[in-house]
Amino acid sequence: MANQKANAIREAVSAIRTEETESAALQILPLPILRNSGLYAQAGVIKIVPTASNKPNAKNIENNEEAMEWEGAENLELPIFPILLSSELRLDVDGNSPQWQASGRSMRIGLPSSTWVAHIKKVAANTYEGDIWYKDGHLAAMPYTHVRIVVARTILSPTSATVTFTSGFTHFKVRYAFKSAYFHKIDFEFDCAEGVTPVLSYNTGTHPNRPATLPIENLSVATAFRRAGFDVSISGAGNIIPVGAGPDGKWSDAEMHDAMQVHWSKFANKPQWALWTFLASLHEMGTGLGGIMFDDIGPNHRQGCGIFMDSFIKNPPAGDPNPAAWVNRMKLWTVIHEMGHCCNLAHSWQKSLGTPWIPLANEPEARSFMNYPYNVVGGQAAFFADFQFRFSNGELLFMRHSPYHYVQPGNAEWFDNHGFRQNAEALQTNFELSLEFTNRTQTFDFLEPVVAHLTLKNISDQPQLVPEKILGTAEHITFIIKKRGKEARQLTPFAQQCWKDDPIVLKPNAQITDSIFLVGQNGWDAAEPGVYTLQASLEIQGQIILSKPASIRINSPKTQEEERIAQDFFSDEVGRVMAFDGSQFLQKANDTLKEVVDRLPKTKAAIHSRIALAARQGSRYKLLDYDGDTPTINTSRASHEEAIHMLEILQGEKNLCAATLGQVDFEYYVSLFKELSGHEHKAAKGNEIKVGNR
Amino acid sequence: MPRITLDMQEGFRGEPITIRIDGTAVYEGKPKTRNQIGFAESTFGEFPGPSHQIEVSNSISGQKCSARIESEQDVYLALNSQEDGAMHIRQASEPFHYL
Repeated sequence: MANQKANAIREAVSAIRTEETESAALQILPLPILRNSGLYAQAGVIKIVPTASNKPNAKNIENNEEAMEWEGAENLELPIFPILLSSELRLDVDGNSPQWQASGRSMRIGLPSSTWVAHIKKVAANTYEGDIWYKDGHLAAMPYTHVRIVVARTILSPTSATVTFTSGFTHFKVRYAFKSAYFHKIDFEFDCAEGVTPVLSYNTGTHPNRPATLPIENLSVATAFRRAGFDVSISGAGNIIPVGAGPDGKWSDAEMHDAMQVHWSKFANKPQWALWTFLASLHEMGTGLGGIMFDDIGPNHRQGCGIFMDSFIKNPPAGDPNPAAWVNRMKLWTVIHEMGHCCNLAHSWQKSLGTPWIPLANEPEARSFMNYPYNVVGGQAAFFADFQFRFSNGELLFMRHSPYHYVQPGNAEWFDNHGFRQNAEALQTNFELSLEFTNRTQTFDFLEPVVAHLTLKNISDQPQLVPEKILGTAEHITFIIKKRGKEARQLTPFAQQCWKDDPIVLKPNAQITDSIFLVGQNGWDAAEPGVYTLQASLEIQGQIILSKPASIRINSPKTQEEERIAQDFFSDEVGRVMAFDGSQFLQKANDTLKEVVDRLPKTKAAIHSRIALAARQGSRYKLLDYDGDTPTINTSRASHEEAIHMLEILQGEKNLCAATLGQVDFEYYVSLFKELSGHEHKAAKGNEIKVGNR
Repeated sequence: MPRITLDMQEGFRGEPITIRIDGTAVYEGKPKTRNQIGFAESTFGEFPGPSHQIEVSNSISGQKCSARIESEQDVYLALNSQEDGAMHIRQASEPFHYL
């Protein structure tokens, strides 16, 4: 008997796998014939090279040059941010239950992926058009409102889709290669508790209570999900899991979660397009629970579900004309229902609860895998009389087009953004982010450190609360630096400053400013002579706002001496010393700065070097050292005299200093200079001066 | 003696709920709905006679609801809380099922 049961799950899984092989064959012929729906994709790094006027006019596609083309419009000020890693298009206009939607997802370096969805209609042969009605993720990188999609195809299959995004007078064209007739890949694995008979498919013609239009076929779990748009694969052979549940053989959620970790061949604590379905006898709740998506445990929800074959789902209604068929149908329905929960689908009557991805209405009468058959008007008989073995349109829209992490098992938490969160399309922002430079001409001498000023302005007519240090934290700011002809780089500061998010009120038209020193863990991102484009993004109030791209020029060295010193100056150590306003540990860097002061005294680099040296000399300095294995902290005395000497240039070369340091920093260092002078005047009674970082 | 089973189903978010049957508290707790099965907790009791008064209160929101049931058989009640906090009771002759 036990062997028979063991064979049953293996045979059921084997049958689905055979179907999978046949389906793969059908991918070539004849499925995509006359169909344009499916996944179109591009992979590879796309680098958009801005011109001097910051308009992209050149493109360079690595890895897959044929797959995607970019065409920037004349007036398009495309941010330099979209350094795409990959981009996808999902076209949903024919095939099973078409939703007449197109959606796209783009992934970019250092930024959240962005998703858009457009409602489209056919306007000509293989041509579709419509407005974008949903956006999520990095909104600023997707400023378009309308799409036109032209599919190129052979008689057998689509080959590519060219999407023209438009917004006002600007447009942007992308070509994607056809990849699949499905929208997502997903892998299912089925295991069975000892002694349980599985049901993974059902012949839709066996029960007389069915819609007259329902095709008669052997419908499997995999087929139901394929029709929802998933490219289903099956892993595992269908294992029998020894009864590891409690003494009564009933399973708790924790026991099923343990079993999933042990028996699921693909288990991992991470999001993946895969889920585990466990067919057991009963849950510890008893016969009243037919199935459960048990995995709301731990950080990766929705990876597994349990179906209880000896629960109420095995009891046909009294007087049913074909009780065995009714039970098989109910069991298959339950399997698909629970797997639907794994894809973050809520019950039909719960659609408006929680944080749906878009405002959703409840569908208490839906003939869907996600509704309880016995809860509709007329009960289960009325439900199955109209049930077409499918998910509702809203559920299909969600699974095919919502941001993928809402659907992917193990990703978004259960019931979080089910069916999409609240529309994130609001492109209106309360703020403006601007980028300026200490040097107003935006032309920097060779060796002159580049300091940018970032300003956040309240452009709304209402006071806005903003975290006081929002411009000083890498958590909120992304800064991209791109040298003409080179790849863009993201500034990675030497230190991450964590501030308590104390809010301040920013009145209408008020602004806050902070400075950014363009040296970090990537090195000196703006050092070599040439033209650079820089742009910042700031995450605030759930939106990401972008500054306009700004260009700077770094001049060539004027002397051979500058060229020679540059080899030592553009080092990680000097960068750190300047970023942290001095160091007594990085002696080699200090020597380099002294050399700049001595040998290039009239340069702006010398001014910055003096500041860094003075800041170090003017303060008492704690240095961690080791006496053998014993850590000790040595404190050195401040040398005000040397610091004052270094800072005298603030008085002697006022204008030059203000120009290269920026007015804010200039005033700060002048006050430091005065403070040091005052201390010196008082015979250095207390020789501590507190020095702030840039 | 008929048995009264009361399932707390949708809309419970951990607020303190008290259920009284004929004046006797049969449940005091903070039920939380598990959305994947639309069920929070269940309570039951056996009470003599065919007529019973069910009273439910939420001590945080102050919302209350009540129902009078007449049955000599076992009774199954579903208690649901709506988004505005209003609660209502539904009666059935068979146990409720969950998926």
